[in-house]
Amino acid sequence: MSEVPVSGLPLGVKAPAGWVPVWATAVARFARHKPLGALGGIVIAMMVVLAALSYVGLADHVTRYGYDEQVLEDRLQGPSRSHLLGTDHLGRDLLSRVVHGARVSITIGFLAVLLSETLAVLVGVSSGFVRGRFDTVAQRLVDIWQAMPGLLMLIFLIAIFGQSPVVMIVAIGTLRAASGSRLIRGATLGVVNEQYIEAARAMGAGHLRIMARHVVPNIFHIVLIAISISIGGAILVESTLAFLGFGLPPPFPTWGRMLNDSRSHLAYPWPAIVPGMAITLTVFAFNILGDALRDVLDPRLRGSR
Amino acid sequence: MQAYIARRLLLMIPSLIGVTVIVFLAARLAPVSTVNVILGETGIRDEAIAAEVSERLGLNSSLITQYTNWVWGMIRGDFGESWFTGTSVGGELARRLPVSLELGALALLLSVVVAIPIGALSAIRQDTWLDYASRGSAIFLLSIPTFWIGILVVGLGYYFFTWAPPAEYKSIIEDPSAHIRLMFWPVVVLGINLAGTKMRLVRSSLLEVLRQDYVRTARGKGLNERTVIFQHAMRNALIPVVTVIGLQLPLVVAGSVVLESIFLVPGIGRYAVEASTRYDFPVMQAIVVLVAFAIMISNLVIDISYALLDPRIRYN
Repeated sequence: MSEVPVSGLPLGVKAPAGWVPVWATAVARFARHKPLGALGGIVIAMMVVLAALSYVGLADHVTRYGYDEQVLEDRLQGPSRSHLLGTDHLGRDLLSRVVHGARVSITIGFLAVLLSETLAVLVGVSSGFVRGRFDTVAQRLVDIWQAMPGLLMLIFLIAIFGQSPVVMIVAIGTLRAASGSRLIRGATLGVVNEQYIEAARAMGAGHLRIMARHVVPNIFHIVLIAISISIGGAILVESTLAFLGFGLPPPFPTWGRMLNDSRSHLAYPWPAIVPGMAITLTVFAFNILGDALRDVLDPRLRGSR
Repeated sequence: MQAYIARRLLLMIPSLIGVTVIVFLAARLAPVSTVNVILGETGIRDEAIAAEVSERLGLNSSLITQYTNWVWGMIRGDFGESWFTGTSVGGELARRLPVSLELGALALLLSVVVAIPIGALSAIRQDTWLDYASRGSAIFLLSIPTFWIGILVVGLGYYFFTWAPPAEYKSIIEDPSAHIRLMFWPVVVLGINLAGTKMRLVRSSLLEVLRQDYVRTARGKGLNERTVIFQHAMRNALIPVVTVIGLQLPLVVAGSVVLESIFLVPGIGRYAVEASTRYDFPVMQAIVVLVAFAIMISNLVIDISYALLDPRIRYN
């Protein structure tokens, strides 16, 4: 990444003709060198657009059916011109339900990971930067945190606190933060002895300022890679919970619950195939994007994991 | 080494206290009233009976007394009674634990057996179509939800072969063939799901080892490639695989929860799902603590075997 131009134009300076913003060249170069990662990015963008369509209420115009609209004479059909992906056991349009399901998975995936990475950065950076006794105590707490058996704990918490988006986001986000904080702490330990940190300290910068202005920006690429892979994982967890009956309650469709519904009519494969493809495609997209980002941003780790 | 094991066991105590406190507080903070959950089944709404139930469950004593009674019970092997069936949770766990352990252990074994040759081949033939295919399928395996493969196995099996998994569990002694027919697919689905990460790890680890000086020496002294890879490189490349088994234990648990529910395997995972759907808190609490404990012990065993496998690693 050595030939990346220096940051954008100063305020008030008009861009000369033919000038391309830095981020655009970076994205173009990424797409050229990592076509698979770029494909992942496109799929993710598509899913985000579908989720947004559902939020603003335009999805039904695109798919021509409401997610809860039952046409009983059309039940359990394969793909056709009127139902592009077929229908389920109540005659609901699978395309419409998958589009609306994207809203649940994408929202919970993004927000849960936003929470988990924020916690992970707070704990990991402070633990790796302060070190000493604080680090020891923090790491013992992370041990306890990591000892929680993830899915079982989630089922337990959701049974107790109810099946709402907030409970799911907080529970998934908090449980995922422990292992993330270990990674961030490791990255922090790798930069605390760098000269620029020493320089900042010599110039009289306080601990908080050094952490926020010097440590975090220098490990941010690690956070970015972790976010991409972690969102895929969070979506898998969300759909697993929904499948087991601990997701958002009906009637709003979620991919996991659609798969659970499909089990009552085994002879008709479409209701089982469509939502499963949606989950796999989305998680796959986040994984290949994360992989490509790692190759580009963190060459030391190339091809590992 | 003994001192190391003793210290690790000691460090487990705060972790276990933490897990039990969190699990206990979560159940006590529940917005649903436990007495109503139990009485909900019967439809009785009588103050006197509600008070009696609450007294019998010990819900009237202080939180600290309740907590210590619960933990002390578990130390003695008494996990309490299910609110729903009234049976002993410990007995039920003892019946179900071997089933889940069998599923998890066989799946892990299968994943190692699948991942090592494919990952190694991928490293040896780096940057060929074979490498790309195996890396692609490894990421793909990480992305497919286990429960979806489970549903597809059942659904497509029914669709094409009118096959369905046996509905009733038989132990291996009772009826070996029925046992294998029931356990086969959950083990295969979970095993393949766990193989993805391991394939990637074997590949990157072997690639790293192949760049080491001693491998160059081995080649330089004229050993054939087969001996270099199997006698020299593989031994060291496989050590990290042991660690990833430890990291994957939570995934094994999650996978068995899902697959036991789909294939009607009477293990701990299915018990947990059933208990949660009916607010059977004593069962859930016991399972979370037991699984957390099992994961801690397995991680200790893994760290110890790590030192045994790699003489460069010394704990003290």
